[in-house]
This record gives sequence, C-alpha cells and structure tokens, in this order.
Amino acid sequence: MNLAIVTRPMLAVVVLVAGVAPVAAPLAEDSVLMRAMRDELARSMAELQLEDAEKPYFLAYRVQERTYGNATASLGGLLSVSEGVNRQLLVELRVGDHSFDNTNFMAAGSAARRPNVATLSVDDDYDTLRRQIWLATDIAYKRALDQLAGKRAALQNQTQVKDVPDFSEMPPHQYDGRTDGQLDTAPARTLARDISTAMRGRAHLSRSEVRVTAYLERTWFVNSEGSEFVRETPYIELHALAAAQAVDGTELEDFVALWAKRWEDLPAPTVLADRVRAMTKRLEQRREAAHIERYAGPVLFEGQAAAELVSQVFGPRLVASRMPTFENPAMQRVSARYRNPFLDKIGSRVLPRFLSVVSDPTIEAHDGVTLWGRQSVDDDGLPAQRTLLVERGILKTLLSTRVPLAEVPVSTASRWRDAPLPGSLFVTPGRGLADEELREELFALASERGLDHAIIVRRIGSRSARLDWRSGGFGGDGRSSSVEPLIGAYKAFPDGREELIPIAGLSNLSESDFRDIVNVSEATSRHDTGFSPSIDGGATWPVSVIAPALLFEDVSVRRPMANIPTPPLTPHPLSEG
Amino acid sequence: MSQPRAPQPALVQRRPQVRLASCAVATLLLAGQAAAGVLEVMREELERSREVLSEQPTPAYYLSYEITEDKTVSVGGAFGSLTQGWESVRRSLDVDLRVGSPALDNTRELSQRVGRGSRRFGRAAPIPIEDEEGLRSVLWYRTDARYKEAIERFTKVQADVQVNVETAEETGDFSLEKAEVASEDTVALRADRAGWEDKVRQYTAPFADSGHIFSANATIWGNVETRWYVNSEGSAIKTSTAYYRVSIQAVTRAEDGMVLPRSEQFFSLTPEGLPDDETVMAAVHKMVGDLEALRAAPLVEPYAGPAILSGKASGVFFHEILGHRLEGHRQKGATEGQTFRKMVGEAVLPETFSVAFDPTIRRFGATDLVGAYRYDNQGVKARRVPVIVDGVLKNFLMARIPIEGFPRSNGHGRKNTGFAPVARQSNLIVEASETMTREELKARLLAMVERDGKDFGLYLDRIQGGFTITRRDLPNVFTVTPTLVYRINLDGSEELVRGVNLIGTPLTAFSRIEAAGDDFQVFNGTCGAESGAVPVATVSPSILVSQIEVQKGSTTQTRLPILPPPGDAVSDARSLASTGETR
Repeated sequence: MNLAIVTRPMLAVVVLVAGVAPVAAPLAEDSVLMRAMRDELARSMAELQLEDAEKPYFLAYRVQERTYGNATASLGGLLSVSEGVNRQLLVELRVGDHSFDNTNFMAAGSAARRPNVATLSVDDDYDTLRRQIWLATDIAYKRALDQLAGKRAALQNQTQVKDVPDFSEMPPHQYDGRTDGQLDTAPARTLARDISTAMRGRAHLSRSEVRVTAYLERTWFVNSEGSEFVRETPYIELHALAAAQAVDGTELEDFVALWAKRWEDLPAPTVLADRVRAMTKRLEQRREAAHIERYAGPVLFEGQAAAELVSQVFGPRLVASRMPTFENPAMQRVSARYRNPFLDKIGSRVLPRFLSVVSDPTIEAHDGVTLWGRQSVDDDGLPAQRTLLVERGILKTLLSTRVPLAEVPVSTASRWRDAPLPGSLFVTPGRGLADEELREELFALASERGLDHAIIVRRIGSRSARLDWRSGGFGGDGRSSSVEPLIGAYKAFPDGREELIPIAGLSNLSESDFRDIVNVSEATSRHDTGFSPSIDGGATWPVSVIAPALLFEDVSVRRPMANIPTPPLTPHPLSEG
Repeated sequence: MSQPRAPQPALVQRRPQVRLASCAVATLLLAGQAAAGVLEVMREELERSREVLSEQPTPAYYLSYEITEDKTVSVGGAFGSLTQGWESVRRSLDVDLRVGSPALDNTRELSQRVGRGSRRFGRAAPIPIEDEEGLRSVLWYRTDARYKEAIERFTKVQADVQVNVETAEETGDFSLEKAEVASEDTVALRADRAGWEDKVRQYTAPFADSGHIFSANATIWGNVETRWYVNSEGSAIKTSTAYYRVSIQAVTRAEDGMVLPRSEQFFSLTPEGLPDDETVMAAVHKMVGDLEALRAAPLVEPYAGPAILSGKASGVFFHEILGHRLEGHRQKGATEGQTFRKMVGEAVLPETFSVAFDPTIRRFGATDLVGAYRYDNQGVKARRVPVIVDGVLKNFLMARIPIEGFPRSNGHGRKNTGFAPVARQSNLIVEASETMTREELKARLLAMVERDGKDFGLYLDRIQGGFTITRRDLPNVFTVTPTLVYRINLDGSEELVRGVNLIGTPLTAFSRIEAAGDDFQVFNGTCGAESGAVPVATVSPSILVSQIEVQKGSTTQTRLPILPPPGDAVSDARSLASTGETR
C-alpha cells in the first residue's frame, strides 16, 4: 500500500507577550484580590482565636492564578488540547512562636498533613474572595492547633536532639512585579502540531509525542510581617519525545526539551524542526549500534551530559530540607536514612579545588539567552540572592528556606513551592583544559588502566522528558543509581574514532565521586533541565545549569539489565509500500 | 516484557452519583475533520494486524478497536463568582485482542492463587484528534503491545484451568455476535461559555447570603462523546452523543459538626433541554432553605420500620440492590455472590412490579435519560431488556461474556475508556401495574407505623448516591445516602430530620416492598464499577417499604467557623486596613 506523506508547511509562531519590565506603582494598591487578602489577614491576626488556645503568630496567603493552554501532538496531529484558568489559595498559618510552632511535625494520621489549599474565585469580587479566604483560614487555624497539640504530646516522651527554631525571623520585603503582561497560549497548539510534523514518515519510530505547556502564573503574596509581592511567571515548555526499538528489541528514547518565557525566545520553527529531525536521526543510529556489556575506567561528560549529571546527582545535595519530627519514633529512624549527606560536609571539600558552584537567581540571561532560575522574590517573599555554595572545592552552605536547620540557620531565599530550589546553577572552573588537552588526559587515564578506549558521554536522559511515565525511565530499566540512562555515549579511541553505544547506565555514581573529578574543560556550556530537589526524582522545575565538561577517573558503565522486549510482529504502517 | 495487570480492588463499589469528569471544547474544537476517514483507517489497520497475528503460533481470533473522543467545556462558580473554566478535547484508543478461542481465551478470570488479574484493557492510549499517519502509528503500536500481553496472559489462563477444579459452567469466555454497520454525524458541542459563566455566578449568588453555607459550587458542563468502533467480525460503527449538565452543590454544618450536603443535578442531551434560569433559581432557593432547616433538624437514632422512598431514592435503591446483581458476569465469577443466578423464573418482587433496562429510550416526560445509547462498547446494538416481568425474574444484563442459559449479549457491554467492558446498567425503568397517590401511600405507611407500635415512619426524598457489594467474601450489603429525610409522625405531620443512611441486604429489602406511588421520577447519574464510570438513569415511582433500616450518618467533630462571615465585618476590617493597623 502506498501512503502519501504530506508535509505541512511550518507555521510561524506569533509573538504575543508584553514587555516584562516591572512598572513602578504602589504595591497592588488597586488590586481587589490583594485588598481582600490583606483585610482577611488583618482580621484573622486580630481576632482569630479559640478560647483557651493560642492565636496565630504568623499568617501568609499565597494566591496562584494560572491561565494555561496545553497541547500534545504526534506526527502532525493533535492528541489533546486544553485551556483554562484557575486560582488557588495557599494558607500558611503558624501557632506557637518562632522557636516552637505547629510545623516541622509529621503526625501519625494523614489528616493533619493535608496542605491548606482552597480554590478561589477568578472574578475579582471582593466579597466572594473574602468569604473563601475566611473559610480557608479557619480550617488552617484549626488544623494548626491540632498539629501543635500533637507535636507537644509527642515530644513529651522524646527529647529533641537539636533545639533548632521552627521558623526564622526575616525583615519584611515588598516587590511589585506586575506588568499586566499577557501570554497568549493559543500558539501551543500550532507549535505542538508543527514540531511533531518533523517526526512524520520515520518508520523506525515506534512512538513519538510533542508536548507544549504554556501558562502565565500570577502570584499574590501577603504575610502578617508586612511582606507583600506580586509576581508574574510566564512559562512555555516544549518537549519532543520519541521512542524506537533497536534491532535487537531494546527500547530507546530521546528528546528535545526547551523552556522559554516568551514565544519569541524559542528557536525559529525551522530550527526546532531541524533539532527534532536530528534527534530522530540519533535514534536511528542508536538502533543499529552495538551494546557494551561492562566498562570501568575514565569517562568524560560533555555538554548536556555534564549539566544533567550536575542536575541529577550533585544538585539535589545542594538543597537543605528539614526532616520533620515524627509522631512515630520508628519513622524518625527511617527518615534518618534520607538525610542529605552534604549537611555534614559544610566546610569540607566536595569538589576539586579548581571548581566553585554558585546559585544565582539574579542573573537575567547567559550569552543573550534568558536563564531559568531567574527570580526576583522567593515564595517566602524574600529578595532573591546569589549564593556561593562551593568555593574552590569547599562546601560553604546549602540552599534553604525560612525553615532553619542546625547546619543552615538562615534562609538563602530559595523557596519555590515548599522546597528550596536553585536559581541558575553555575559550576565555574578556576582552571580548565582546552578540549584537545582534556581528551588527551582521558586517553592517558585509559591507557594507564590498559584500556584501548575510553567513554565520552554527550547526552543523558532527563527526568522531565520521559515518553512513558510508567516505565520509570528510558527503555524500561536503563536506570542505575539515581542517574537517567546514557542516551548519547560513545566508545572513544585515541585515533579519533568513536563508536556509538545505544544505551547504557551508570553504576553507583554519587555526589561523593564529584570530589575526585580529575579535570574539566576551560569552556562552559549552558543547558536547561528539569530539576528535582529530591535525589529520587519527583516534580521538576527548569533550572539552567552552566558547567564545563567533567572528567571522572573511575566510572562504571554497564548495559541495561532489563529483559529486552521482542520487536513488533506487524511491520510499522509506514514501512510497507 | 509486560507484566500482568494489577488486580482490581477487592471491594467492588458502585456509587451511582454524579461526579465531575476528570478529563476532557467550543473555541478549541477541532471537530472531527477527516472523521469519515477514521473508521476506514481503523479498518485497514485492523486488517493488516489481523493478517499477521492470525498466523502466529498462538493466533489472535478476535480484534477490536474503539476510539473515544471527548470534547468538554466546563465552567464553575462559587458564591456568585467564577472559580474555573476550561475546555479540552482528547481521543483515546482501546484495543480488545483475544487469543485462544471463544471457549477459552486470555480474558478468563484467573483464580486468586495466580493473582486475580483483571479484564482491564490497560491504560487507554492517547490518539491523534486529527491526521491519519499518527492514527495508524498508534493503532499499530498498541495492537502489538496488546498481542504480547494477550499471549502472556493466555499462558497463565491455560495453566490455571489445568490446576483448578472445574468451577464455572462451560459457557465460554466470549459470545459471537452479528456484525453491525452504522454511522452517525458528529454532534457539535454547543457551549455558550460566556453565558454559562454568567449563569454559574447567578446560580451560586444566593448562597452568599447565608453565613452558614461553607461551600457552594455550580458547574455547567457540556461534553460530546464520539466513538468509532471496528472489529474483526466486520462491525464498523460511529456514534456521537452530547451530554449537558448543571450541577449545584452546597454544604453546611450543624452545630454538632455534622456535614450536611445538598445537591441538584440537571441533565440533558441538548443545551435547550437544560432548565431555564427561573427553574434553577427556584431549586437554589429551596436548597438554601433546606440547608438552613437541616442545621436545625433533629438527629434520627438508628431505626427499623416502614418508609416511603421518593422516585429518585427508589431508583437508586433498585439500581443498587437489583441492577448490579443482574449484571451477567456476576453470575459466573467464583468470587461473586450470584444472588439471582438460580432464581430465573421465580418471583423476586411483588407481581405488580416489572423492571426493564432500556437504552433505546432517550427521554421520560420532560427529562432526558443519560443511560441511552445506540450501540454498546462491544459493537452490539442496544435493546430493551425486560429483566423482571410481573415480579418474576426473566433475564440478565449481558455483555459478550456468556453465562449458563444466556449465551449472547443483549447490548449492555459497557465501559469507560481504558477498561474492558462488562455487563452494566443503562436506563433502569420500574413499572407498576397498580399505583397509589402520595396520600394513599402515606395512609398505608401510617397504618403500618401504628400496627408496628412505632412513633413514626420515614420519607426519604433527595438522595446523594449509594453503593453495594456483590462479592461473596464480604457481606452483601447496600447503602443509599439520602440528603433530605422526613419523619412522618402518627398525626400525619412531616418533620425534617438529619443524619441517616439507608442500609440493608438485597433479598430482605425486596421482600419488604409493598406498593408503588403514581409519581415517577428520573434520576440521572454516573455509576462506577469495574469497567469504569458510565452514565446511567433510573425511572422509578415512589415506593412503600414495610421495613427499612437506617444507621447514623458520618459526622465530623469540626467546630463551626470561629469568626463570623466577613460580610458582617467587612467594614471593620476595611477601616483597620486604611488606618495602617494591618502592618
């Protein structure tokens, strides 16, 4: 059967975002929502009290409004589209005092742990908003009293090893980031359809999908200390994902992932389509490539792979989240296993002396391209700040929020939702080698071990870019340690020859191995990636990582251990005719 | 390699209650362009796969594709303001692929020793709304995956059959049915989003006048479900149905913490069929009054005695205790209670009662019935199935899962996307050859109350929903959750009460049905069971039951809000804010 393959012309994506410079105006003075938030906050702080119980000592409202348009497409046809608007109120209410309050406690039951979230009216109707905020505050207050009583009861029989306050005191801060900018979400559909067209006619692809998420998130914040902010976060995310089965049946995936704040910041559709075609080409090459069984020796991580390695292995250790007190002491012991080992490394060397790491949310762009991680205020309303995390190899501090830890008592203004998140992450070499020199060193190290080749990794799977969420990673079980599979790894020979490896995993590479990085390139490159503050994955948020190529002396690489599915029995519909 | 699917939860609960759809457009609607081509592409791909898969060592003997498109517009409001609005469109694919033979195939239920396994299709695959190449690609990929799962499961089924004692009758796993060919035009979703937004504001505004109503939401929802179905027997069917719903829910709490909900639902198959604003607002004002009255209403202690169930309440009652037990596959599962399996030909209800399931009727009186459809999810034409005639059990609801004495489907193989079809209810129609007026029913109730030495009887008016358990390893109980219950005192006075749920066991409950009223009511809702949520309706008269049992409803110990509603204090807070005292 002959199938006519029609290629659609790429449609230009329309630029529809207003400028993003904040306007000087009294802080949201004219906003009905802000007024309702302030008024109910004032009333609650003054009057909300159950007889014989404590009043709230801290109250914050964070309202997040999202106007969104999402589209998914495959091979030039839309799979789904959705558009809408919603507003959520998050209430943070504390009873007790800064040193000991209702938080940082995990009750045995689940009811007390529910987040204080309510749906708010998207109409700026003062009376309705007040009513909704009133009811949500009432629930939060009662819950806080229950939590405080539960925590006190539990601690009657336990002695806290460290007496760390529950909440740090910070000066109030106001920020008005209103631009009244709009993000037209309609281009999401056009873009998803057009980019997915670039994957048409490829019989080697078993599945493919383009996902475009676009929204404008407005956040209004007010707390009882006098902090207020209004922040606008335009967000465009594009993921082009494809899967193929290798000749032997091994499942392979690859992706193109991009984030932008304005449609015009995305590469031109023709450039995007070229990148997607290059990705499908890579998959085609990997289908035919030969596996390696096992390799132990020097490995050079370049470009995207270096950034992903930093993001997936080293980055989550730069985040300090406090372990709560558990009502159940057995849970306390279990939770101790998940303690971030870097909490005990502050002041110690965690990287070679020629590397430093900085989280910087204050830098707008790198080489003219908008950075992810740029933020004016964090979700506690604190002014975002540059934080030197590792100075010439020595760990100086960790990213934190207003929930203090013994090791990190002061907030680094890094709160995003409920956990700390880096701004743009700069891994800066104090010295480095030119690319050729770095390769020479790689091969010298390989030769020392009697190896005729080394391994260079240029692409690693991303946590935010999985085609099949159920598989938990690329090609079934390509994962090892906490790193996604290597999807662009090469056996490299001293004569310049390179042999592609279809898929491989890293065995047990951990943050402590970064201390022994042998050398890095002098040049850095920037990659955006879906960053998860948890080492075990979870929700991701884009972070720009600027890092050099990283040379490790002793890394174990192996073939994925999962069984290989048989190739399809019926030929691909495009392979006939 | 694929793994067997996780078993279904042990407790099969069915709650015929209205729930907001989690998935699912006017401005976005891409409509079914190339829609005519969808069936053709599906047929070609089916044929291509069938040729290859029927030649394998374990050949596929049956293959069907069903593509379901959901276009949805939803707007929601609370207390007079808009809270949400969204639109979506998506399509998903379900593949039914069978290896073995109709007598024994890969869908056979596995014994608990092996792990029950399920008849679930696996997550429905998203499929392009448009475009042929994407459609072919997904059909191809999913068929291959389904074939591999099927041969793996069939091996387990064969081993299980060898090891186990013969329990099921030899009725086979799948019935052969005649090929059907039909095509409807795609129905347009007619959503006036701006108009709907005004309506949800209007419908929820009166709730803001009460300081005691803690949640009040209205949703207007429009959905068009278009289905394309082909199978290897030659069926090719396209159907398209619109559903429109206005749903209003409000909650108050009594001083003792008991949560008291009230809801109203209006369904229609056309936007014009939804009630006008005057009707809805009358219902809203009644809800506000009911909620205030409920707060002050006395609690009812657990009670066993006579009661009248309104048409809506009795519809849910019949749905739970009768309908689910007449679903064909429940007569053969080794874990099923099989309440009615051996009772065909026996009287199960008073002879004045007859019950039929009829998906072919789309309207009763002025109300559309959401349990209507033309073809079921297995390509079988919908038909009326009289299950109880003059009180005598005659028939079961049948999907293509044969049972002893009932080898063929009667068009009730239903499912939601991602699930394998089993026999499910459609429009449950209760008929009564003798009826009484409300007054006559009440008089008879009071006579029973007096006879039994009770102080009062009950009238169950509005209901929220219910559920039942049909498995044999758990008590075969049912619950119907009313929201408005009245105590009918011996002097004939009626008094609103709160805090009761109707409970019971099926056969006892049937034996207590005494008489039917002449006031037939429609209940439109969604029923959830092992093949997912499906729209169902009941048409039923009010009924008099000589004895029902009620138990205490659930409650919370949460106090009422500490501060008065802001409306009472708005001026105070504003003045505080303006003098800077908030900082």
